[in-house]
Amino acid sequence: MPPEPQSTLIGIDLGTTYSLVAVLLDGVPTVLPNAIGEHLTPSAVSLTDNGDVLVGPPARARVTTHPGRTATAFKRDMGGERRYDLGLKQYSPVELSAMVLKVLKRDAEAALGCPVTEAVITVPAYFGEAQRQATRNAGEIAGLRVERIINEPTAAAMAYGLHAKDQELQAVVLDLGGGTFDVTVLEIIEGVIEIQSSAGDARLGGEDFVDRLAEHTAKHIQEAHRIDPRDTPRAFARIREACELAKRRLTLATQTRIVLPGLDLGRKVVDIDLDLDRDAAEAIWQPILDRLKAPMLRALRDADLRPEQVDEVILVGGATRMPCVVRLAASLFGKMPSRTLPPDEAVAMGAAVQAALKSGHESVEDIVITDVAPFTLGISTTTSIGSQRVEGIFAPIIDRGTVIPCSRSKHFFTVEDLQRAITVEVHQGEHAMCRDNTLLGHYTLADLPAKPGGEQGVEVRFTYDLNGLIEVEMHIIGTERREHLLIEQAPGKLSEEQIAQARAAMEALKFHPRDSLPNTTAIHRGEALYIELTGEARERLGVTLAGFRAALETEDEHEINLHRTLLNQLISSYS
Amino acid sequence: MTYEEALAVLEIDSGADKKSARRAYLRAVKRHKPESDPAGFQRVREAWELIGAQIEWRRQWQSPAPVQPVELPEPVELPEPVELPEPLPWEPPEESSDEVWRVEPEQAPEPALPNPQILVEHALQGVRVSPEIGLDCLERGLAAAAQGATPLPVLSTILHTVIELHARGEPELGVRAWGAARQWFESSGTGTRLSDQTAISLVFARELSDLPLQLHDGIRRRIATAALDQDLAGAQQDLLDLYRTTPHVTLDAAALIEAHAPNLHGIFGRFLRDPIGDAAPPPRKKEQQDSSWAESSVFVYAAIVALTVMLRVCAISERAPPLEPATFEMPERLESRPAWSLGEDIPHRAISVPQMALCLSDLGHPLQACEYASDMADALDRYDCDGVRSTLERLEALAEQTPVIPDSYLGDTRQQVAQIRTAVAQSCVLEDPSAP
Repeated sequence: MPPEPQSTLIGIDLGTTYSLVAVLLDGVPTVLPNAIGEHLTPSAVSLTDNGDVLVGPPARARVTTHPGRTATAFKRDMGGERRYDLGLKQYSPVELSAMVLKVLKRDAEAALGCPVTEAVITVPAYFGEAQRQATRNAGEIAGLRVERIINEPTAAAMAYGLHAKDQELQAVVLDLGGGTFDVTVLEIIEGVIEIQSSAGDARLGGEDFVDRLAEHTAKHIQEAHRIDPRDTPRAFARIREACELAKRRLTLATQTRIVLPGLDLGRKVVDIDLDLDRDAAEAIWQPILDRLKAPMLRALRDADLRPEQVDEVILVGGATRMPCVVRLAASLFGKMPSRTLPPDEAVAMGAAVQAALKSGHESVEDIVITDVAPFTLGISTTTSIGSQRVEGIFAPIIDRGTVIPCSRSKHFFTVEDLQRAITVEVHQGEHAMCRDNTLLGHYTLADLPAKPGGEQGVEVRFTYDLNGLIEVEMHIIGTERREHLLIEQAPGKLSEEQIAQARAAMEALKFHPRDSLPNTTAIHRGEALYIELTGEARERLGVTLAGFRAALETEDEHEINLHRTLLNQLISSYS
Repeated sequence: MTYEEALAVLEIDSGADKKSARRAYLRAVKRHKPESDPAGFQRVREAWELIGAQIEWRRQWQSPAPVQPVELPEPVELPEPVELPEPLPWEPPEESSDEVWRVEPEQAPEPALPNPQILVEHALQGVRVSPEIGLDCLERGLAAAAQGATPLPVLSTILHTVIELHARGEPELGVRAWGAARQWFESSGTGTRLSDQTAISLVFARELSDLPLQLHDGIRRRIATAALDQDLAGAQQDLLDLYRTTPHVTLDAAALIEAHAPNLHGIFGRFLRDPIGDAAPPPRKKEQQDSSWAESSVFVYAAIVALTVMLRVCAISERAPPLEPATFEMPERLESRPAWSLGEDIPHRAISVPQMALCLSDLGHPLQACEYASDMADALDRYDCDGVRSTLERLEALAEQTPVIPDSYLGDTRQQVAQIRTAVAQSCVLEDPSAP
């Protein structure tokens, strides 16, 4: 049994490809295992023929065997309208995320041996208010009270900060995940962890490396066979999958092969076997590597640091395993980056630290972490020239990166003579025009003193707290009048009723029993691998799979465990 | 929050170096955690931003460039700055003798008063960190200078501070800074001729501050940045790009600039209004677009000098009621100077001198126009009627020799020149006290 938990508030990294749960145990952030004993739970949902919901490893394994029944990477559409068709039913990204969260909650409860009702969930730094709210909604539907939404790079920084709390240093955390790249500069002194600057590229990640390699391979195949594999989605998906594996192998090996037996290109079936060495791959990736530099330099400049002043460079995120990324960071900072934290788990660990802070945990009592505003907040303004009028110019009040909680104000003026009312529209975003940003709320100030245009002023003060709550105070200059607006009705926030309804619908779903997950996962992984193999290997896998199925029929636990171990060993030897 | 309050919040004294101040800040953060005491934390944060900014400028201008990372032994006592090495951020112009802004101190510096030059230097460094503090420093520096403290602040630094505030999107503070600066120029009464770079800065500082607050923030910032980087062409290109994406924003800005900032209109306004220009562009506009920074700087200089001429003429005419040409009461400061008056026609006719100078400088004679206009200013300054006359003649001759001046463009400038010449000849009466 794991030790008695010190905190039932859990930290969740709800990732695009994988999700993790972590809590602080004995002052150490610990990632909790899922039903099959793994730390990473794929963010995948699949429906079986009899309507069972599969979440995690078995669902991920069904991507190639049952693509029409399986949803992955739905995090990208959080807060959006898209619905995923799982054959029997359609689900929104929020519902799918809620299913993943529900399973994570169930796994956490099994690992901790106590009920879990509250969570801190991480989101990418570029997530806007709508996407953050969608994430909150998913948590609520899954039966988790979402105590705090924090940025993934902040979380990674926190995990590192806890690790190095007794030191005094300047650190840079490089987080290269599947789809995003984040650079965070932080300073740690006497247990205070302060984020000094952050920069990033929301469209740069490990997936880009795979895409480039897949494009390259596809071109190669096109030259050799005069058929463009990109015209056959299924074939291209297999190429991409093979390139993903090749990319991973090149982390350790200097040479690898991309092998695709029986690749169906529509008009012709071909066997592909390409040699790829690391140097060639890195030449293909050079444009991506070049793009990684800019955010690093920007973050350093914002923190007013020179590369040599950085004491430690921490790599986080699966893609930082690649030697070329390590080399790039080393050459830029003039020192070897460290991987003090497990790259895949750092974000979840940081969420656990935040959860512990939130619940007033004693092992983090002497730690303080300051966070920064994830996006710019401002109001919509109008410029009037004669009869012509331009509306919707965004006037920022709290800039992105400002240390929070914070309070800032600006003055605004009427545009027309005798104007008696001003509408304060609160927007969030980084664009110059409000129509490109997100409207969070508005308030109309009426009965202003009648004055010529441009002479009646209003002081608008924004107060932004750690929970993302925005308070707007409007003071009509020259009078004692002050009006308040509290922005809590974020876009897409669900009412209590809607949450309850969605939660009831979730209860009605039949989740695959947790106990049988190891078996189900083994079967689905075996089936997925079976497609990729040929010849003797395929035959051996087929026999082992059949043996495992037979064992399942016997319902003899010992027999089942024996065959499952055999099958899993065979799968890992071929993968 | 004042500087003193900030020191109290962080529990440090004003001599603290960056490292100890930062430690004090972080310790204060521990006392006022953001999680449990948000209001207290915000206060601590505000105090740190203020103190950190202060320390930052002290460091920036004290350390010689390039910055050498030096490990200082602890504790470090930062000496209070006493004297500055020639802190001119811009290259001195060719006619560096023109820079008469720093006059000799008339009295021995009183140790009790703060050093205005250093405060103004602080202001420029400071706005880059915290606009409010920068402004505060500028105001204090100028106030100290007005009280007679020395050494006097460097004009270009004052102007840069104003422009920097605009570049940082703080027009209101910029306007306040300009107000303080203008008051200082007026009360100090020093200097009539500026180096061309300073003159350009003056135009930008004034006109940016004259622009109403509704002006699109991005455009304001871009113009101010252009002034700081001396990159007019780049700014014009950016505005062109902006016009392509949001034409109405640029057009509105152009209207505002035209109404409030004549010189900026010359540089940017036209560009904003009709950046593509389908019809054959008028010569002035073409000239404007082709002109490099150096040319435009001369142009702006000419504009400044010409405007100085105008202001001087107006000032003189104000002292002498136009309908009753007579002597007027000299202010005390000018008592040693001869009294003189201009005839009723001269004042508003002479206003066309700047216009003429501008036209000429635009049409390929920037240097001469500049020279003549500044001679004109000189002549007016010296109460030298002959000088005024001869300068007008030279201006007229230049206008005559310029074949590319289209009549439609210069309008009746030639006629005006003639009128001014006659008027000056007839009614510019110099009452030389040395004459019997």
